Amino acid sequence: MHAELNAQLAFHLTGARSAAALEPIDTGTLRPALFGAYRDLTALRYDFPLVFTEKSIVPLSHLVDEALKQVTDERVRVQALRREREIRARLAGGLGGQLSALWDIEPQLAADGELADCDAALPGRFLLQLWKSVHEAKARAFREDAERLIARLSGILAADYAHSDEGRTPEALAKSLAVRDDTFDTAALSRLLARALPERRLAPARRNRIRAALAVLKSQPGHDFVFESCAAALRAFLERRPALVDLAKAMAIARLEATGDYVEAVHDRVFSEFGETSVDAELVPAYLVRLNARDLQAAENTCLGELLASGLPAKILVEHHDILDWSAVANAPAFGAQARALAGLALGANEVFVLQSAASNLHRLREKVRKALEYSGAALISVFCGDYLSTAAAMESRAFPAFSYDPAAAQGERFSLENNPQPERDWPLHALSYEDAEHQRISEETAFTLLDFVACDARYAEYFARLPRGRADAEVPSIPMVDADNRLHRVIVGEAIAREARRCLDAWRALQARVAPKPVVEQEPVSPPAAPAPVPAAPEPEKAAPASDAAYIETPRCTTCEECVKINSRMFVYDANKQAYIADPKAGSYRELVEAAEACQVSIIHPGKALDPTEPGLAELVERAKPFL
Amino acid sequence: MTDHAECLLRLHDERFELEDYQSGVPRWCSGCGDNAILAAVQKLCRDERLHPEKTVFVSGIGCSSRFPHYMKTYGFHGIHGRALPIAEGVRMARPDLHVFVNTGDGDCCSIGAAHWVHAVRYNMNLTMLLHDNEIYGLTKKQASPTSPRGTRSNTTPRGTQLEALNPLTVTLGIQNVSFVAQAVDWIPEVLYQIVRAAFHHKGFSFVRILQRCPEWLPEHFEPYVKDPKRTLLLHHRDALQLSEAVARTYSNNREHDPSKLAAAREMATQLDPIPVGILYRNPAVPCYEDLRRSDKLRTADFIRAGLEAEFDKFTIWPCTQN
Amino acid sequence: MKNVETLREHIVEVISDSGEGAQRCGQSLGSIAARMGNGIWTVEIIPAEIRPPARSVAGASGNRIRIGAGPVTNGGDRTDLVVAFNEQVLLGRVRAGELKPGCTILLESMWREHKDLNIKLAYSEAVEKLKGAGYRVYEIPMDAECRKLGLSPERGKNMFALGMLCSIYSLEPRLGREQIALTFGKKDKKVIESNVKLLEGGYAWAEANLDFKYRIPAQAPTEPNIVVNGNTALALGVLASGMEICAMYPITPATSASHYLSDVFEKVGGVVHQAEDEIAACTFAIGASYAGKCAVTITSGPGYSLKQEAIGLAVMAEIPLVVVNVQRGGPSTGQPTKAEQGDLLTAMFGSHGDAPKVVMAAGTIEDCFYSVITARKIAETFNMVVVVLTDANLATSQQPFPRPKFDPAWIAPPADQSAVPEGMQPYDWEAATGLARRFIPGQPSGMHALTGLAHDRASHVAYDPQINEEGIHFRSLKLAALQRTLKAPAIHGDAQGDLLVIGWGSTRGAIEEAVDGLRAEGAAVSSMHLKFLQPLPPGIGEAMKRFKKVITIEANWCDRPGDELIDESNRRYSALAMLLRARYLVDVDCWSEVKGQPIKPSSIREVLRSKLATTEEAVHD
Repeated sequence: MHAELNAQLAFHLTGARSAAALEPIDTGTLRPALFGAYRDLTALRYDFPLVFTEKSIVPLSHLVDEALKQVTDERVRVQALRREREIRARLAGGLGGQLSALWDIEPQLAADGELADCDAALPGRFLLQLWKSVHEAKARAFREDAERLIARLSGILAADYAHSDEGRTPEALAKSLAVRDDTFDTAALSRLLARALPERRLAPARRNRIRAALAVLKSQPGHDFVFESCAAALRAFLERRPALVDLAKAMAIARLEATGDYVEAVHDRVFSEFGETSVDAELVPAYLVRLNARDLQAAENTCLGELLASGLPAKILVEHHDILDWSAVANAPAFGAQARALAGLALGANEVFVLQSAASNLHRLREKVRKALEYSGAALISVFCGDYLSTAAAMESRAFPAFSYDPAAAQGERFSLENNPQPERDWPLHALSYEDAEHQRISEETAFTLLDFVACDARYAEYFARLPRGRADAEVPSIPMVDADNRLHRVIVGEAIAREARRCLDAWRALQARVAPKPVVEQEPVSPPAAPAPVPAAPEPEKAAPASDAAYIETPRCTTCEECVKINSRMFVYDANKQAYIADPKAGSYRELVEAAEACQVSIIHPGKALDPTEPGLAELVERAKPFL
Repeated sequence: MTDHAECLLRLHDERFELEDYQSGVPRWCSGCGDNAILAAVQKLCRDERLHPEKTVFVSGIGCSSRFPHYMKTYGFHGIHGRALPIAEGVRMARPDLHVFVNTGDGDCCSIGAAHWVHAVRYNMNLTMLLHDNEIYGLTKKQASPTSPRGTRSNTTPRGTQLEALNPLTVTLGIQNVSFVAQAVDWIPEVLYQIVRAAFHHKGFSFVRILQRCPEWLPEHFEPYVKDPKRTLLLHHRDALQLSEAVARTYSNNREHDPSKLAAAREMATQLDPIPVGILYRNPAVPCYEDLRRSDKLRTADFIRAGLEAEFDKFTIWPCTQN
Repeated sequence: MKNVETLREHIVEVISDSGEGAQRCGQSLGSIAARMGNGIWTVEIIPAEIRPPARSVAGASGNRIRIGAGPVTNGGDRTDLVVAFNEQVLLGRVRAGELKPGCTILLESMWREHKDLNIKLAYSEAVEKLKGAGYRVYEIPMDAECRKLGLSPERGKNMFALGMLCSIYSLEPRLGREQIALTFGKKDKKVIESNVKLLEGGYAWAEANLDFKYRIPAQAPTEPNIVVNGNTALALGVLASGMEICAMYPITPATSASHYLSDVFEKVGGVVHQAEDEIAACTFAIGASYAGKCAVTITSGPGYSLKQEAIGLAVMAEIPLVVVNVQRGGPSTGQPTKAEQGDLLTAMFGSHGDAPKVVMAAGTIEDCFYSVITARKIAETFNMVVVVLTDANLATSQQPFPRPKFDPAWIAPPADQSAVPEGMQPYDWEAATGLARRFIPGQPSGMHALTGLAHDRASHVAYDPQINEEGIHFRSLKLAALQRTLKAPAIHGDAQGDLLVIGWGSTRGAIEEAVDGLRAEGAAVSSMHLKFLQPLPPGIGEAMKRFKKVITIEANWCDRPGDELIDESNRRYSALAMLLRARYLVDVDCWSEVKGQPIKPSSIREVLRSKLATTEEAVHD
């Protein structure tokens, strides 16, 4: 017993295989127990192959399911599903093709396009297609906007031309009158107009401004926006920037001119100061840069950092083809280190959209990918490329977890671990059932870890040792594996790999920590009333009416009926709202006050007490004033 | 625009004063309710910062229709009864303008009645103010369709025989009605709020304003003016909100939900106390101009293409002799 | 091989109960002839009712095609050959006096064997009568022949007839087939094939069974032409003028222009607004024009009367506006589907007060197209109302004219929105011409209240008598200004002679044909046709002086000198004659016909003959 333990420890720590007891593993036959079910993927209906249609990317299985919805005939259904499997197998065999060429049976599928399996090339294609659709939509919106402005500005010049002498030459008039016979003396008409309506041109400054803007809007070169290196992208961007600034400026000027809102006193200065910072992000096209992690040397790395910081909407796709890197420095495994480093760099720059995903998961994350491409700033998209099983395993084992950071999203919703299996756990747990040596069916919960992922990689076979079947249990870190006949084996793992598993777990926990706890959902506030806000201009009605011996008017109730101001326009005056108040009680007699009060139909004039006790007929006036006090 | 450019552009947003909208001295009689409507509308223009050159007031014929002359905006003082179709033409041609219509009870409810009915149906984005003094003023006191039965006038010396037409119930009975309100010239604050709500409504907003005519019917609205109890103010969180002062003076008020057509029709039939407020509003009714105007750019090439396509249909090509 | 008679021209009618396809047959024949290079003029024959009872005398529906060796400018005289699907519709045409004596009649003979005895009788009686009257009647079993081809006569008889006509007039069957492909282009192959089969059947039958065959020489056209009726041409003109809004109210015969426009206007971003009434249509257009988008309203007589007050407003406020009046018989409801030139004076002097406006008249179908473009330009140049007169004759007739070459200059530039310079007023009437540059909403510092009241230069209501007169003065001057930019109308024929015929509008082709006929006989007669009626172009007075006599030919009433009560002290002259007499103090005579039918060249020729005769006498004594 003891010897057993020592042997295992020895292997675990030193990799020394004492005795034949600890056999090396053959990654050809031995696979992680949890893979047992997946020997033949073509039997399963999953996201792949994908169909790259005109507009979108759809899993073949979705297309088939959609088509089968209306199908009642069972034979058709069976045949369709069989054909789907055949196509999947064909792609697994490395062959591609147009769907329509392979689908010559009922039912009709809603869409057609190139088929693509999950392979090394997929992520590149996938991104390029999404990028194109995003880019084209943006370009279209811009073109329409520009065309509108061009039309408006051309219209202004046309109107100007029509009132000009050159627009009223006999020839021009003959054209616009559509005369084809001898009805008109257009020379006479030309003279007559020139004399009766002297030409009135736009101010030269304005005409030139409009012409200049038009020239820029009309001459928009088509550029290529897909690059193979950050440096190239950056160079192109810097080269094109001056033209971009001009365009942004022209658009802004055009907008103002189109509505006649350009005020030279104000805007000339604005546009003299118009620079890079003034460029509307919407105008900057997204650059797509495709990189292979393998070639990412220091130089390119710094350039990448620069690009991420440049504020240019660069969409950088980094393809990882091997995440089980080997650290040359430590001469030891450094699994996933590069991907982590990149992600760290990008997440460090807060304004960068960061997205990481294994190829197998890319389609599930398509909305996130689209967001990343539509995002106004830079985006780093890190993808682990490879066949479905290994990329899926990389994600399952946290070796290459999926995550995204969307700077445009609301606080607390920016970082997401969606699609990762059991994201709240350290490792995803799965039920594993097998027969033990005594042919007892045993079912136990097993975690799928980095170890399982590495165990598939022949390069690291030496770090694993299979315990003889039926012998003592593993005393050191181990994983269950199955052979070709689905018999279970215990496989112990070397410390170097176990250490990587711990690192991997730490990294995963760091990601988990980034996910903000779900905020408490608040009650939706009732939609704000559509009613007009309270009158801004009307002065607040005086709360307490002044003492009744001072004359006053309830101004807010004044209906601007002119009665009082006609009686005495110095005593009764309109305020900014054209409502009357008593500007100067001394500007007139008490009689006028009382008469105004009587004339006022809404009875809001209160004459108060007479200022001049000597005013003739006062007694009578006081009587008349009573109802208005 | 980025914040930078924007803040610079924002240097150029004007403020307006009432004077910027005043033109000439109104020739209405002193005490005429039109003065109050004019003040309210000028206030609206100022507060909404309407560019005078982008604002058009269209009117027909009558005292009320003098309105455009007193606005320092564009104005179209048309012919009797036809303010609405003229305004519709303006609106169809120019979605960028603010278009108002000033009309009277004779102009709108009598000679122009056909246009009124159809304007409601078209539901074009217009703000219509019906200055309803229930009498013909400019032609010197003849009974109008809205004169209450018994109104003595030069054409009805022994009093009108017919019941008055109720512009509110008529309008509320027409398909596509989207905004109906009633105001009175003697409660300026409420008048202003109603006009403002009408302006903000996208569609045909019909505002009937009961308006005093001191010249021909000096006593007509007296009892209502004198006794606040005879005005029923309608308020609602989606409609009119009464200031403290108004609520104090006009204590006779109640809540009325402008989204309920049946309730609005019910309310519209009430004559005393006078219901004042927004009776009905339905922003969902589509506007005729939006349904009809194309958003295509009418460039010469665009028109050429359309024209050539039509020519092709009728063209006889020289036949290719073979 | 039968001998082929060569003709200078022939007038063909294809008539049936409505819905039997005679219309299509006739139009196709016209198009085929036009493609051969013949001049054509086709007129729709429309029953007054929408669906008259079958086999009714008043129910003739079809097409009348005048085919000529040279250009054809009008419907011509009486019919030479008729294809009729039943004898009743034919009798209708006979009674209307539309058939030439001895006219050839190709009549569907199925009725002779009809199971309904009355029908049998009616048919054979009619045939006897017609033969008795000297018509060349061919009874043709079209129905039976179609059945032989295994096709339904109900839907196919018209193409069978077309085939016969192709044979009769030696038209290339190839063009017939192409024409069918064009007309049924949208439908599926089968339809086209069966129609071609019928066409060829008819062609073969005629070749085999008819003892006559014609040829009308033609010069193959070298440039593309378009074949449309006047109303379609009007609508195309609206498109081409760049106008964006047309406001209308349904009225015959103008409506078909709006129908077509409604279909196509939106394709170029335009709007046809069907208003609640004629007044609203006019004021809607005025509103749009005022706002900077010159608009058009299209109507006919009664509608035009209703628009008068609104037109006065546009005149007073100097808002450009195009009004098209497709004239019909009047007064009141009059003859909705018939042609007349009765609205000239209304167009010129309508609306109360002095309301000067421009009045143009289209003389040809081509004019209908270009007049709208010209009208828009004049309206916006002079800030005036421009009335374009056409009539039911042009509206329903078709004639090829060269396919127009679009010029962007036809289109109005967008509304001027530039700021108005300090000190400028909305009515800065220029002293000599009365012209002023109008202010358009949206132009900064151009704000003013436009009004239908008398107003001064600032558009302020005029309370002072001088101002009212000033406004009237300048609005009137604009007509003089326009007149100064017009050239003297061309004279058709010699510049001097015994008789000058003056006309306007749709009578042009008939008048000139009559004049040419007489000149060929050696008569010293010429004609002049007016496009502008207000202002009248210069040079008319001088031209009239060079002729012994002047007469106008018009389709509006003038008293007949022969009537017992009529003499120079009370004779009411036709509209144009009255204008010419008033303006030039020349004793202009007039002759008119108001039957609702286009005036025939032969009628005019007779009138001119007798007029010339009296001229002779005048010369002798």
